[in-house]
Amino acid sequence: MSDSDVVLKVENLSKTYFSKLQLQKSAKDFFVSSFQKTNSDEGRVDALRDVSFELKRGESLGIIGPNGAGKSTLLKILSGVTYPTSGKVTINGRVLSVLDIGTGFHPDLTGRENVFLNGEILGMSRKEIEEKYDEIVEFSGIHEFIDRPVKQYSSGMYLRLAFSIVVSLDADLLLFDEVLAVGDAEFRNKCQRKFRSLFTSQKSLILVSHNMSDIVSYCRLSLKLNNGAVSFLGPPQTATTLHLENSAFSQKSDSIDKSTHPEPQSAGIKTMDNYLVDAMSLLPKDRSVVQNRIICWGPDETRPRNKQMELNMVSVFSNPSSPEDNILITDQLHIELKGKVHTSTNQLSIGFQIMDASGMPLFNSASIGLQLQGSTFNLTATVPANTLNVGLYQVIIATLNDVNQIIYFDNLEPIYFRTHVNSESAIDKYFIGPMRPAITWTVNH
Amino acid sequence: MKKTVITSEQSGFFDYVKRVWQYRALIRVLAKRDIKIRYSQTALGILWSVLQPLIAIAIYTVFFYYILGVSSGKVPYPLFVLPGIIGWFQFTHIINAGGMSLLNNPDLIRRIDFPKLVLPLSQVLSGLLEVLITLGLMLILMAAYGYTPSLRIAFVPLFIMLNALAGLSISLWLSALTIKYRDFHHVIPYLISFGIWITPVFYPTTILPDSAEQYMFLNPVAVVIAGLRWCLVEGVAPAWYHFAGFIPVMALFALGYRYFYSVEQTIVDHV
Repeated sequence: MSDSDVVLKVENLSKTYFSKLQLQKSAKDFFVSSFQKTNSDEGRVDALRDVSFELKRGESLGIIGPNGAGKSTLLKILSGVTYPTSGKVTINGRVLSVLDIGTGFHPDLTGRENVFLNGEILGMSRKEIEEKYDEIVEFSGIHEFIDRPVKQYSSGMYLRLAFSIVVSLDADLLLFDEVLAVGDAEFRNKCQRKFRSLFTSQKSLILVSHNMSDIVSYCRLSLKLNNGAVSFLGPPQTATTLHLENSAFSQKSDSIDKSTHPEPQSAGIKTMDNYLVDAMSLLPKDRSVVQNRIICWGPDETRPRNKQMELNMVSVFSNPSSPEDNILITDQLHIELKGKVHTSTNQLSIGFQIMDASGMPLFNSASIGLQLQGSTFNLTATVPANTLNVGLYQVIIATLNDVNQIIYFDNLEPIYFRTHVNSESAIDKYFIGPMRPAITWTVNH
Repeated sequence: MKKTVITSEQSGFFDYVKRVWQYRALIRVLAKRDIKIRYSQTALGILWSVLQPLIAIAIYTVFFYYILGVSSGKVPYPLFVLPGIIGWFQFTHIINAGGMSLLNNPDLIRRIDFPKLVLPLSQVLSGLLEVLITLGLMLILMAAYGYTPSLRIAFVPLFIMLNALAGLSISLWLSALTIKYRDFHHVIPYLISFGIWITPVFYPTTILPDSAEQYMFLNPVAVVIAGLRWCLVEGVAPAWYHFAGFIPVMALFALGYRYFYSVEQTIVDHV
């Protein structure tokens, strides 16, 4: 691989902050501290520890991690805004860093003036901006307001204009910090198309985002930071699942985070396999009897209830004979519900909603048409095989009343479950999104 | 293909100067932004830059010339006081806006990679607009009083540059110190409101006792104003020893630059 194929090379990058210095803000401290040399490690924060990775031309990298993991510090160093304490960064080509959109925008200036101002601040020449000006305005879609001061803009218009400047810029490496979530659905679609076109033109992108769907849809690679160290580098599907798992069970994740230099992948995968035990152990012990994937509530315990019914068992499982009771995506998924009905309303049903780990609803179903009358019910819902992808999901159980209102249960948290494949192969990494239906391909003659 | 290497080692003096030169477009852009913001959304717009010195002339003339009877020699008082106003306004603009330039631009500092010296420099540049407008006003006023400018007017740029250097030296200190110790934020108004009394803006140095007059020129702005008067209207040519005031300015500039540079390395963690 020739050197010019690598657009960015980060070697053993570390950054340490001493918060003591930041406290020293008044002149009094200035005089006092000139006499006292402070060498203690008090207030020492290792924002980045020994971070190394490489990015090739045309590749895109998403950086994820909990707040304070060092994501923004890394981006700031890459963009030259701050310096590392040790280590080295080599960038081949022009960098454009967008740590915030609309940097230097002034509310009293018109949209047109701000386009030029912002563009020039970001390092474009006047000529370049003039060439791109029409494209920028066209992209922002606020043509008729371009000569008004931006303080008269709605916040959506403001962001759209600022974002339009950024996406029209020309650079070999683009750095974005949490700036993608702007505008309405139509504008976001436009941005997605724009971003995809960047990749085909061999531009590289680094994206810091909390929005996992951004990472998955824009990035081929992802890097997870934990306490300043790289804890995962690999396909975004796996990384985002890990990230969400850790944030869903944040108490657990602390213990994982503290292993400073985990081997990429292996450390993470281990936690994923044990996820269910983790999830169950987080449920308050006094409330539920935990048996594998089955949650039961005894008669004396606080059962999940609403006005219409109460539950005494929820179970999520697939083929019970599968190894280690894993839920395999190639098997049917069963959700078994047992409980009691309190009212005598005729049209009452119980249902569930499946969401991905970030909470985005995927689909739902209810026992519409089934008679739940009588005091107890015992139902099993079966989701066809090959519906979900490999990953972490949550299921919420709720009641649907006679006027099709969803009524949730008190004392019932979303139940997390993880899906697996029988034997993981390389191809599994290329299935994106939360769904993985079995698609058939045929050759036409 | 441009190649950038980022390490913990920071650029040396000459690299830094080279970097500032590479960013000259940004200096111009920020100066332009500053000017636009100053006059946008005002009914009178750029007219203010003419009105401000005119109002100052009127007040000084009434107060010092008519009421206190300050003598300006053969030169009509308004013509005498305007060069003082030009020099003083330029200087105070630079220390005021330049001194606050780091504190006022946290978004740029946190998000854009550029040599921070660009910020006070852009204020020096944006201040030149008012200087030019006021100089134009001066020429009109001279014509009204029947004064023909002499060839000495060619020296005006020299004194304007010296003034900028003096202002920049102080604003380097103020801007860097303000970032670390907000206390200095309160120093700037005092510098401006008391500084005018030790600067011959509205009085000639001749009203001072001889023993005090020479010390007056330790104030670099006093040299600049005396120089501007000499260039534009009749006045005493500044003697070579008057420029002695620029020795402390050079020292302030060199040390201020070093301090500014050292603050710049950690500035992102402070703003």
